[in-house]
Amino acid sequence: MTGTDFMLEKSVYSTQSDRLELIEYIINFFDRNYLYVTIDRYEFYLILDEAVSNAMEHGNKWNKSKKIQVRIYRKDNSKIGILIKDEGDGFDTSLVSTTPNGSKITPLRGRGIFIMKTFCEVGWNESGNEVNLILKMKSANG
Amino acid sequence: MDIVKLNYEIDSLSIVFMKPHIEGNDPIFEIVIDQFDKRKKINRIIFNFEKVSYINSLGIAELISLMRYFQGFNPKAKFKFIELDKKIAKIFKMVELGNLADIETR
Repeated sequence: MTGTDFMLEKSVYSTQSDRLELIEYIINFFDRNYLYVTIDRYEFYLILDEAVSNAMEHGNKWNKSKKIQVRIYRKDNSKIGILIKDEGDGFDTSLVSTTPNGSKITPLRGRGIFIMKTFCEVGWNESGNEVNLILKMKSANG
Repeated sequence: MDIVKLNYEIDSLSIVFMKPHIEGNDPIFEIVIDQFDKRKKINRIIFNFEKVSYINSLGIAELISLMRYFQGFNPKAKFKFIELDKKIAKIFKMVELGNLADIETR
């Protein structure tokens, strides 16, 4: 994402309190800047939680000295992107399934990713330690 | 504040979640297995979400861990989620928890 103008850049440590504060901070940022997404508040909170929790749990292993970085950018007039990067080794994103599979939905990561993919576009960088959530914006006439 | 309460009735166990959020940061699994009377024959486990307004995938993982634990005691045990917020029920159905338990909304 070189050359991108970010609307917000923020880093927090991997703690439960930072997790909750960060999610609220991002939602408040959207509110303050009149950025209205097409999913509802519950769904928005949930996908942010899944992405942030995933980074803190799987990426940084809840290591309090490790940070996650959040950056928000305009993808185009109708979409906004949220990049969430951890300090972990990443994972093989080719193993991400697109649907859960009955009682086999045991891998934690798979379930959280499936929830995110239900409500927004989801991508990763090459090493798999940065997730890119792309959300559709409501149009001016609703 | 209690995190979870266990109530027994004949052959069923009701697990009542007492906090509004289930998000993987409370030791729900440890509390339940610590409080569970392992001498009892339990055929039905009812998870009561009356007080719950939010759950994420870490919380869902706790539920699945609990179901696996109880299946270890009784492979034929039946599970039911009751008093679910409609939005949570939607998420549960999305991740196919309906294959593992009956789902009833508020």
